Amino acid sequence: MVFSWIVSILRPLGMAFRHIFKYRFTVKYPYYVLETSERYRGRPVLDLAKCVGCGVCATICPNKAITMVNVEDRRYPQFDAGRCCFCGFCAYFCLTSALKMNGGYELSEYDKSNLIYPPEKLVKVPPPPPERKKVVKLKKLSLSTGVTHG
Amino acid sequence: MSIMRVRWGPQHPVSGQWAFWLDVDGDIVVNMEPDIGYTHRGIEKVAENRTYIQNVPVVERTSVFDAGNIVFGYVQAVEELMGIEIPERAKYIRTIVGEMSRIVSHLYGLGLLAIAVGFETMLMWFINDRELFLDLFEMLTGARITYSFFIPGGVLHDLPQGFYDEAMRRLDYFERRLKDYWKMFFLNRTFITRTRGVGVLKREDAIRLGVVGPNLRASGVEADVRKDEPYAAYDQIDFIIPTEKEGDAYARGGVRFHELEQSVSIIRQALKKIPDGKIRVKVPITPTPPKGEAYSRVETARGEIGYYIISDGSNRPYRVKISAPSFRNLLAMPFLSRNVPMADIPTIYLSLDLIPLDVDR
Amino acid sequence: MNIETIIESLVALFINRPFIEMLIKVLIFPGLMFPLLFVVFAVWFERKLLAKVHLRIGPLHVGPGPLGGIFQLIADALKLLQKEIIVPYNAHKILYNILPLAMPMISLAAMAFIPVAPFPSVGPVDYLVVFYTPYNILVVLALFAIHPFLVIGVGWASGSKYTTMGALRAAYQLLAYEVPVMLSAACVVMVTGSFDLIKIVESQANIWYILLLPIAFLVFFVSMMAELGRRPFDIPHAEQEIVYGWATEFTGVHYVCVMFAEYVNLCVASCLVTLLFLGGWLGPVLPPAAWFLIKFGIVVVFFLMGRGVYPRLRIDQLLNAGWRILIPLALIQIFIILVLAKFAPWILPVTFVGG
Ligand code: SF4
Ligand code: SF4
Repeated sequence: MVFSWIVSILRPLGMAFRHIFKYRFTVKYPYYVLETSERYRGRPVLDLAKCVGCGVCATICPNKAITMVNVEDRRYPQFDAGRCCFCGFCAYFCLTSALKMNGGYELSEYDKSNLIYPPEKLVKVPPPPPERKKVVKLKKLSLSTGVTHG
Repeated sequence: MSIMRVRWGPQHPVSGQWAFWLDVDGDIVVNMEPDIGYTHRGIEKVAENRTYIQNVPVVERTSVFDAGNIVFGYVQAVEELMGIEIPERAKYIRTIVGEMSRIVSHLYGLGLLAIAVGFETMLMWFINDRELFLDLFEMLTGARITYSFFIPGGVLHDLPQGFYDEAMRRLDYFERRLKDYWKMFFLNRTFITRTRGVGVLKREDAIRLGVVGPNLRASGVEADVRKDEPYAAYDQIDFIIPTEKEGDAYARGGVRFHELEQSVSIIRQALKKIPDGKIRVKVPITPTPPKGEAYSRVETARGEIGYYIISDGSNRPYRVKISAPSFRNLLAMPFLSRNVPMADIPTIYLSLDLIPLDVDR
Repeated sequence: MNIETIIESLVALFINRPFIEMLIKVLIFPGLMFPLLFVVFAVWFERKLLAKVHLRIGPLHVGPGPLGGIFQLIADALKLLQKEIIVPYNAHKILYNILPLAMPMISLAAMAFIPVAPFPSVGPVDYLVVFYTPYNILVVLALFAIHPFLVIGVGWASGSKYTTMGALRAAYQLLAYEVPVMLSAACVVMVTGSFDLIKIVESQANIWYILLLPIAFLVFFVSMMAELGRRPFDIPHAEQEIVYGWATEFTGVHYVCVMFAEYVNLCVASCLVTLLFLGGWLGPVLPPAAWFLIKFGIVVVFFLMGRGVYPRLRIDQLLNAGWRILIPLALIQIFIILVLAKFAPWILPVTFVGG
């Protein structure tokens, strides 16, 4: 009884000390970037050659983030990153796979008007992380040493 | 000493986005009134103005901590309205997503219970290991928190390549980690002292107040929609419903903890048993169900959620009524916090795993 | 009298050994500089240690390499000192402004009576202590005991509901835990037969009191933790329940003072534990001051670890632990000492007065 009391007080202390030396999940973000999966839903990217201007993406979008605009007498989607909830429905329901979700998620802007992506801008693929950022992914899971990224 | 009225929230370290009025006599709370409505977003009304598929991300916002299970009920109700049966494989994938979502939510809830008694380590460890499942979700659905993965008619994507191995690896690690948790937290003398006998909800009271979910099971009632009214693939999977008799904060934490173990085993079984086949039946982009109504209930991490949908034959629902689990559990909160020390208020509040988002909708 | 004689007499006055020794004692170690550096280091170390226990990384910037974050406290203090002092509408203006400023002074005053090591000198042995009195343990504990009253006063003077509740909790806790602190310190004093910390340390040459009086050590450590209000016992602050307890309303310079006083108190308590039970500066090979700092550091780690390992107790549980467990344990220890003095006096370092 007394023994189990003492164990239940001292064991957590020992476990806490052991955890000091374990690796952790945290990735030092601005210097290291976690690799995103293939399906990651960042900003949608448009393929002008494939788009037929059917407007399904604008119809399905729950937040009206996509509106159809005219570009040289054809209709293309225009995207507003400020309204988007990144549900991915626009890309999923696009009949010709002209719209695809891309892994780019660093979308913040200083000017609100920059959040609106007209078709010409929506075509551009977000740039990959710059050189100084290292892309890592979870490599090793072990109970004794914790989690290693590499 | 006369009774002092203290406003506990919404600007308070743990109150969340709502407030409690506490009548305090010294250090004893004699009466408590919740003041809700700070996060009311009118989800039910918004849902009336969108098409059935557009509603999925909206309904999900009821409680993003458990995004997988919350949409589950909605899509089932819509399917019932439209009279469609989804393929077997879709059911299994839904089960997997639902259980992973339960794990994610329970880890968060247990962490918050720890925060209530001032135990940040527990929160941090749980949040750390929650990452395992968030990565899996990212692999499967493309999002980490709000999945929008279920749509009426099935699921959006099939399991990706290598998902089985990755999931098994993480589940193995997580299962062994759970043993650490049990030793560090649930066998920690101070934690036991702080949560045993706090906020005791007796069996009769729990039933009378209409408490649902792990809180009900911690009072010794074996009620779980997954067993009582199996949906998706739960009827083909072998699992038990953990219950406790005591009905105090420790028991509620314990039930959640054992549910984590059960969820791991459910995901394992589902991944092994999953049949081949289609993942989705064809549903138009703007489905127009016939006139009628449907009710569906599923077991979310916080308890049973019910969706009642009325269709008037157009492409938008006439009414979507959500009966959210935290709102039902909220009734137990003023009942339990009468004549308890002030220090037990956060413990009771967070051991019931109440989420203001869910209460206000 | 010409200039040269004035300069000469000034030099004679200031550039001599006693004066420089005094300067070192007062300003550097263990005087002003030591607690100041300790606070800067301890806050950083606490953040880093807890981050590691929490499986986080902890502070990274404002500081070189692995010491990242070490200057953050200085930056924070500078920022806070510039802030407007907000006095709540209901507050008692004078007390509200004065009491927080008094806190660090009293804590630093306690620090002045603590000897930390012999002065490294060739002549007669001198000690690194700002102000020597043979009753220094009494003085330190007495200065420590002033804190509860300041806390109660501050909590009441802030005139807010949360601070009042925090102050009442602090009153219960701090006053209840004075008793075991005194009793367990009394064990050491009984065994040594002196109120002098230097004598207490020197009498541990053969056996440290942590081995001779383990129960007294346990009681002293736990009740010191409660006196400091470190986690399992940070009930007067209890941010989940009463926001920040008695210190809720403080901004700017008041907040700096309150936090500074808390960490200086931590320093004083760690010094006391080291001196009373861990043999102070005694140890082979290394210089005495180094030994003192090593032991001191270990004690500080254990004080800080409480926050990562245990949740907070409730006030009734805390008082139960104090009155029902710690005080009887301390009394048992006193009884054991008496029995030892009667039947096995050779174990005790000095001949027991009553034996
Ligand atoms: S992006 Fe796709 S859905 Fe949208 S208009 Fe073009 S083809 Fe249609
Ligand atoms: S991701 Fe969703 S919200 Fe964003 S544009 Fe596409 S459909 Fe609209």
